[in-house]
Amino acid sequence: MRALVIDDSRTMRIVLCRQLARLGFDVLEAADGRQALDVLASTGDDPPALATVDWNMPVMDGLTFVQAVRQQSQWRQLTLVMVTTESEHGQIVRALAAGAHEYLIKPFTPEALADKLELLGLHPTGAVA
Amino acid sequence: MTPAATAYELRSADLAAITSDVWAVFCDVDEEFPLLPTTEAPADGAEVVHASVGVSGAWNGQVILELTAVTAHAATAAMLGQQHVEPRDMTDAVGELVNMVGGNIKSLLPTPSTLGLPVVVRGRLLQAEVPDAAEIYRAELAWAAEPLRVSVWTSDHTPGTNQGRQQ
Amino acid sequence: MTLSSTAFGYVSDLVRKEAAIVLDPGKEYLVEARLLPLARAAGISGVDEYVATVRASAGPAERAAVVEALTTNETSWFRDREPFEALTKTVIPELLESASVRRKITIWSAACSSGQEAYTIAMLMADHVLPRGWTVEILATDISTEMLERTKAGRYSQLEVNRGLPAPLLVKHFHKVGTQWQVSDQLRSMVKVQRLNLAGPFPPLPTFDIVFLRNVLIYFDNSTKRSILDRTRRVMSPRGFLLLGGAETTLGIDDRSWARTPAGRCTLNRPLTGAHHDPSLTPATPLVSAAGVR
Repeated sequence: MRALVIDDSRTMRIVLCRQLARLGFDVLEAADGRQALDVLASTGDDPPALATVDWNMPVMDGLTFVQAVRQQSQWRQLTLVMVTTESEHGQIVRALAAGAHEYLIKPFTPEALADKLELLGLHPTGAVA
Repeated sequence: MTPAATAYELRSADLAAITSDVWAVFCDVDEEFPLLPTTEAPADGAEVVHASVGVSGAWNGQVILELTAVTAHAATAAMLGQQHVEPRDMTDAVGELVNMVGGNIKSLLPTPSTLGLPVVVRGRLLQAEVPDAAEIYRAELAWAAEPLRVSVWTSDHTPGTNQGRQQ
Repeated sequence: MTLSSTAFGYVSDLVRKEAAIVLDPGKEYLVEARLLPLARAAGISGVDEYVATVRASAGPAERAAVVEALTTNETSWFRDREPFEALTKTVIPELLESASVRRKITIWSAACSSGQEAYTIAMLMADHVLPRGWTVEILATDISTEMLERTKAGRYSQLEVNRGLPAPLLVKHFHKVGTQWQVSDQLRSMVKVQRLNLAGPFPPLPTFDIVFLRNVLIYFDNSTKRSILDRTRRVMSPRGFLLLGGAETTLGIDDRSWARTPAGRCTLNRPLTGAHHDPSLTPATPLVSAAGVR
């Protein structure tokens, strides 16, 4: 099972990739929403199962990315989890309305990420306990 | 069901609590050194890194994180899970730390506002970098005996905003 | 001050057996950091001495406190997920079907800790039961008055709401107060708190349709488990459902008093009324396959 980590911070991409790899995902990366759309397009008819999406990024922000993905029927199986420091009640409502499935507020523990994926029923094989 | 309509008044203790949560999760992974409040200001002479993130919209200002190079290095190493740290790693990691602190502080300020992208600079913070702004909140913290300061600056001078410095 | 290898060995054995968590050598500082507040609360200055006291007391509450201090930073909302699926898919529909004149469901969240389980149940009830015009009462009990106060307040940190609370439910039932998230008055009005020591005689309690008694029996020996299950059965409706933790079962503890039926990957325990007096009521074949008991 593959996951796409979208965050402009290389450090946060490393943190998320490490945690997702430990849960058994093969991980792809993108540094902004535009790059992420390119990565998705390059996966053709075999897109990843999951994308973690930062909100504040240069070029294309996470909310715009979520809206763009939701307009494409070939990516309707892609589960979108916002992973962001935006933590107002209204921002979470906006992200869910735009089509994000789940929302994880930074800072988050590895257990909190695993809990969210459990809620979404994403269970890759080969997880390291 | 109904979000509280009354405006929340940010406190210096919130700065400390938010920063401590960020540190506990990403920097103090072995739970050896919690980030604790202190009354001591950073000593002169130590090499310092400062990072800022702007907030604009219903509230305008900046959230600034100042830490020693030693702390910046240790925090970066903890986040990356490796001891070897390049200068660009440190810039990126400290930028993400101020992004997390700033975003959570933004959620306690008047909405709607937008969080900018972080800027990280080596060296002591100069007043000239926050033109027309005044510091309104500050928390002095210490991590493994190294000082760390979080402050909130605003350029808003309209009534009804969180004015008045609180220590 | 460093932790003795005896104390570390005892604590790492305990959390491995009771929470399946491995503390490798080198994590002594973690044990010290987590247990020092407990030692101080008990009026003991050193962690070594505190661990020796816990060992000597052999008390489940003390052992549970040690395990909890070392294993949980925050409790998950939909902890283990399956019990809540069983609640919405099997338990609630069956209770709503039953010809209850009361049109009321009474639930017990036993050993409620900081209240995440009670409010998780309340959220599901708000969606699945209240719209049918039924009322819901949830009693959350714990031995710790501090935990009861936290449950009653219904305020959680961001790190706590990050743990397994679905975002749509967060925005529906919580609002932010400073750095904390406050549970809605609607959910809080469903949840009452009461101090209760499971190991002792129960105070007067309502008759429960649903009991969540999860991840607490593991701390007790078999005879105490049996007496807790017996007391629990006596405060349950004959149509009631008991849900235990993933590592817990009535099987082999109190076989004659409970019928076990699988619901997804968890087991629903239902009281067999009069079973103690009439063993013939016990089913000849177990109602649940081994796969139903995790």
